[in-house]
Amino acid sequence: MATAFTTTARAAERIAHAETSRLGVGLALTSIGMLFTGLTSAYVVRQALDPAWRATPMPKILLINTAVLLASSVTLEKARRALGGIAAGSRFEWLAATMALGIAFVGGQFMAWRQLTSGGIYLSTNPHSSFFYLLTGLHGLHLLGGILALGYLCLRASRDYSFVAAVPRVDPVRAIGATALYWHFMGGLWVYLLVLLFVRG
Amino acid sequence: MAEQALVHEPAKGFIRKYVFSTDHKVIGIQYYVLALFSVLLGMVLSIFMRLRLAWPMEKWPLLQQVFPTGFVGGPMTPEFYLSMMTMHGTIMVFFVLTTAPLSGFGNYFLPIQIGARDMAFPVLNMLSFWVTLVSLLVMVAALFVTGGAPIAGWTSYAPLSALGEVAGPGLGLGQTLWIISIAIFCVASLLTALNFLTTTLNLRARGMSLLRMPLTVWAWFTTAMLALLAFPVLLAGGILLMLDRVGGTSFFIPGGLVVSDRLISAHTGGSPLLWQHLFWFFGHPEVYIAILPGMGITSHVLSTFSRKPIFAYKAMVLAIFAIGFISYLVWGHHMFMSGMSPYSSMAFSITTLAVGVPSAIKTFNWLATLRGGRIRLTASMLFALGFVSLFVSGGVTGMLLAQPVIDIPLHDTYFVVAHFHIIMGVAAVFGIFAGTYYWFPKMFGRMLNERLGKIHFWFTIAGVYAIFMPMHFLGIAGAPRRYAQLTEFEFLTPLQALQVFISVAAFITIAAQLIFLFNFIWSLRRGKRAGANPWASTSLEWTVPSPPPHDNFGAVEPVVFHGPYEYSVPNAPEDYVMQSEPVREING
Amino acid sequence: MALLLGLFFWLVAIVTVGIFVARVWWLPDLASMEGALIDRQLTMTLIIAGVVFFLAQIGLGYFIWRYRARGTERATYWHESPKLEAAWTIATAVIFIGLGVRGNVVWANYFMSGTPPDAVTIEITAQQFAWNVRYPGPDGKFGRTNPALIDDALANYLGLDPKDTAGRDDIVTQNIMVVPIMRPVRLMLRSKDVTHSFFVPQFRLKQDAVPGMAIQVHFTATKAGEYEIACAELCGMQHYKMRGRLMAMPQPEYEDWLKKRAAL
Repeated sequence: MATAFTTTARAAERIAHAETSRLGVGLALTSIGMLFTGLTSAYVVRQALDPAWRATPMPKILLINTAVLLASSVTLEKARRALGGIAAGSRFEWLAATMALGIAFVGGQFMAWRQLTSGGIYLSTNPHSSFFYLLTGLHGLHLLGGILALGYLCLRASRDYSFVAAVPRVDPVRAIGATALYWHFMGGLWVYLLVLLFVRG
Repeated sequence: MAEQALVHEPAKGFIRKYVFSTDHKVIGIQYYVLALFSVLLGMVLSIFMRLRLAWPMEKWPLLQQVFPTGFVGGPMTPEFYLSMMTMHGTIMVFFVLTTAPLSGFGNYFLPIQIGARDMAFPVLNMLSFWVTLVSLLVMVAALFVTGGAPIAGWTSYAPLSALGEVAGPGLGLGQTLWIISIAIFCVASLLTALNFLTTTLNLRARGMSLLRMPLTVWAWFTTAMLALLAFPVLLAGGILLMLDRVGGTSFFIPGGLVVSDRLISAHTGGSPLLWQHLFWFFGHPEVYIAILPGMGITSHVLSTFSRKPIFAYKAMVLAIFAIGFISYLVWGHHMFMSGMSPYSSMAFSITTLAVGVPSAIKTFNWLATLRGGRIRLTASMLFALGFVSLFVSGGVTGMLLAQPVIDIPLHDTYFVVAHFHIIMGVAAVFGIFAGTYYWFPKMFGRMLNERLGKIHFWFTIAGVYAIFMPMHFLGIAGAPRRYAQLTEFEFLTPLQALQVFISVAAFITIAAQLIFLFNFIWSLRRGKRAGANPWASTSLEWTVPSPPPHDNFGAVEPVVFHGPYEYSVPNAPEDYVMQSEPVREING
Repeated sequence: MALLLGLFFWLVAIVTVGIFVARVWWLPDLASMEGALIDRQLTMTLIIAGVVFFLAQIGLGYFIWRYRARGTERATYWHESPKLEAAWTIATAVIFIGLGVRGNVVWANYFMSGTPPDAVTIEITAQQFAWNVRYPGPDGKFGRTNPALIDDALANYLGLDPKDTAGRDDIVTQNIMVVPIMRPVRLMLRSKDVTHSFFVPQFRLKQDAVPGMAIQVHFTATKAGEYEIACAELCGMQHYKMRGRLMAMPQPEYEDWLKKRAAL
């Protein structure tokens, strides 16, 4: 039983737990990567088979969104540095900034959808638009998961000003590390999707 | 080396302890019970199939009262048959063969066998069980909706599955629920897989190096890797299929279709083969997801009851890995007749035959394990030996089906039905039974009745051979699968006697499973009390009481000194040396 | 018990192999040229698979009996034998890959040899639950089709466009197919709705008909007679009775039949 352990055992466990969460996130990303790999192969095959394939013109706002998402990765790194010193106290502004940028990105993606639909391009208009809505939608959904994680961290950090005490079981550095892994992957995935959809055509 | 999960306090209260439990042992049992329910349901569905196949025009007044739409005018309707067939396949593959050996036994025994106190993510673990249950409920709901369950088979080939009600009964709401259920199942399996992988990598006890893990753990670990990479692709396919059905997209639906005299004008340019590629990219690894844990259990049990080290442990590990890896390169062998490029067929043919090599190695090693042993024929051992026999019987026919040129006459005939039922269905079930007779004492603290177990074995082994061997003959003679009856063609009518024989054999075999069910329930209460190690086994789960305490090992941290199959070590005091026993040089 | 189980596995091996050897149930009588090579490869593989199956079951049965627990002696402490392992790894690899290569040679002969120039071309368009058969007529050209014109009530199953002159002499039948013997036939397989599979067991011929694709296969019938066309890909409710009749006849009779149909 937990109480039977010595303090050293406890300390060892805590690190192990956080380490484990990073591995878990890594594996989750592997399977998310497989999901998008499957969709990519569908995209490539579908495009190769269709003589009438035509790419939808890119909504310009996507470039701004991309910049926003990439910026959020930078702010998240800042947050990680800020919380690197455990005594960092109330330094959670960077976390909040990351979250705000993430929300802005999702909002921006939604605007891009609105732009397309007002131009008469819907999910079923042509295969390219089908893939556009599907891929951006799935990516956005996964990003929302990241935003939730950031929100949780923000809440914990802001409530007690002392991250460590608030969540005794979650090492803040490792927790942000795992979240950052996920977040950066989503950033990279977005750039990949942008290239797939609009550079490749 | 040893990294332990944060130990949670034992849960208090019935709900937290047995319903929303985060204890891997409770979750393992929950999965097992879910699979038990599913297998019973799946067998009932197969009874309906066998009724129709053996006596297609027979009237069943009693059944007609229960299912008025399924037995219009007395005989079973063909669409009812097809929906039974679809649901039988789906439920057996997903909710039995994926759930029992991996999520059931794996959840219960993977942590204990590596000396961990729980899974790496206990809450996630609980979540994956409940998500699986939701998936099962959605699937079962498809049986009760208007229009009935889907009729497109467990492979749900597009565009049949994509067009909706216009293509046939059950393809409306029933098919939609099928896709939703499968998508939910994918998510649950991913959660399970990443939990298994993290646990195996991070939570092994001190001394439990990778090459000291029991072969069961290696099998679960590899299976989890397969699941992690295969289920996302099925999910991708499912999403695309759903969008084709409800979103008006054309991923799988080509243009210019005329279905039931109606022009389908909303779609254009989709590719039916794309669905097949996505499905089988998942589908073939799925076959190994079903069978690999059975291989692990069989290795474990054979070694235990031969009282011999497993022969060529490292080769066994390598073979599991090789099978897992190659299983990603063979999916095209399901598509030799699909219109895929004949060049691809040639490549897939070679990779498929290559997967036979590690499979054969495993068989040889099992036989070599028996050689020179002191074989004790417990019920568990009987089923493990049955597994080996079935694995051979189902495996050798793979040599035929792997060749596209032989696949021309045999593709989609009963020969294929015989092949995959023996190797993926029945062999895997034998693995589950071997595991059940072996681990029941550990899980519930009481022994299963051995005599009933042996009777159960004899009925089952004789039964499955009587059911599935004749299907090879049907297939050779050209009988196509998925026919609601085989009497509409002249060349098939001489085969009807075989169908009747198979049905009778199936009914007896299914009835014999009640012996197991009775034994299971009776032994829960009345079975002989089991000690910590009733089989004189060596792996870590046998070092703790039966059933194990909440955190498995109490306050003691288990330490492992050597590999898992040290039986009949010369000069050792007993004929087995447990993994946790610090002894002098053994391997030296 | 050990004796019983050993004997049981022997029994399974002997009965199964016995039935195959006696050919109680076997492939339908061959009626095509291409099928001969398929049958040979199948029989050869079946023999190899049968030998492996037989030896493995017999060995398993024997070991169970021979090494049953008796006396107090301990089992052999035997971990591995690299030589033995290498031997059977190499042996199985050679057999399996060898089979694969041989099978591929037959496959390549069948699928990658172009259809001979004197081949008759016939188009098959599958639908739920019938086979539409079309002959190009004397001009050798198939007329244009348009799915919008399909009307089963008017027996325009293929949506033949009356404006296209090439289509005027096209012969369309449903569920009846006539082919000449000893002359290659090129099939163009299409589907109107879902995936079907064109299966004539006696010809060792099976090929999916996929909507949106036109797939070519060829065969040469060798025996005159009537055969059945079965569907081998689940296509819906009446999949089990999607039956076509195929008549193979000598070239002159075949031509007579074509003329008679054209006159209709």
